[in-house]
Amino acid sequence: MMPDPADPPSQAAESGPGDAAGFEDLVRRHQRMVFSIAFHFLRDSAAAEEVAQDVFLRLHRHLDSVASSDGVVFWLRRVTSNRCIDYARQRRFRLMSLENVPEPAVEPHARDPLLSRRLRRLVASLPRQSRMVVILRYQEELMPEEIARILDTPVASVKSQLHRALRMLREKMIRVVGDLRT
Amino acid sequence: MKHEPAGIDDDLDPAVEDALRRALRPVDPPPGFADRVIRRASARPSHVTAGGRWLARLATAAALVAAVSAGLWYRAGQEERRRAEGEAAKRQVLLSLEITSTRLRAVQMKINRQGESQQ
Repeated sequence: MMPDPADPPSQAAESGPGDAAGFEDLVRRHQRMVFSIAFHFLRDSAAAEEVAQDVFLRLHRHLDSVASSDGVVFWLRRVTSNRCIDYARQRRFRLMSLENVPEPAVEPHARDPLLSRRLRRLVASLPRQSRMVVILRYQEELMPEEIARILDTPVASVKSQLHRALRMLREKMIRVVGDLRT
Repeated sequence: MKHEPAGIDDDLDPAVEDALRRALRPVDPPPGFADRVIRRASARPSHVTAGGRWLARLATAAALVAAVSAGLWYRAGQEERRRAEGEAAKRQVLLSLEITSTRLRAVQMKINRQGESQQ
């Protein structure tokens, strides 16, 4: 497994991942990231929790091999992405009635909660792979090269998916709320 | 990890990108999420370490080798027993033949002696 340059090399040593306290520390430190990827992808809090729990239980099983490579964040992003895509594929995950989707609490600095909500719905309507590319790019602020490594796909493919997805989102947003720049 | 705030490419719309960043801001998991994960992890059989997995593989291999060796040893023992039994039977047959031959010789000699005395 390739280490994530974003991880401090001393992460494993700091948290002592081999013991229970180390695992607990990893869960508390990365729960927000793992849950958010799953939530933005699946748009269902219960499904996101199921996937996120499964990811951490897998981490618990492979703790030694993962922690020793200093690539916990990379591993978590990769396994979460794959689990989300598999989950959606295997269960033919259908979007819940969007009115019933529990929205995360609106943060005070959110400029337009309604716009964000609509945008999240549009993201949820993207094809699985493109959806994950968009989430990794704009939630995790990853570059296409890093996304390509996580999804084990060519960089060119990530870039073209990103372009197509953004074009699609922009067109839909313009139809719904007008030009975003105005 | 933060990268450039604007698009990664000139033809990406920065307004859409900014809106996406706001919309896809990380959210907190439901309360108690970490505790549930930790409870489930600790309820499972204690996680097997890499060393443990290696030891388990070693034990399996050792058990396999022991089973194969025992089988071979048992088979070799059976063959040895069969061979020893065969040898014993052969010795007995030879002994019987020797006894019979001795008696026949004695009878023959007796007959010869009687024939000579009648002449």
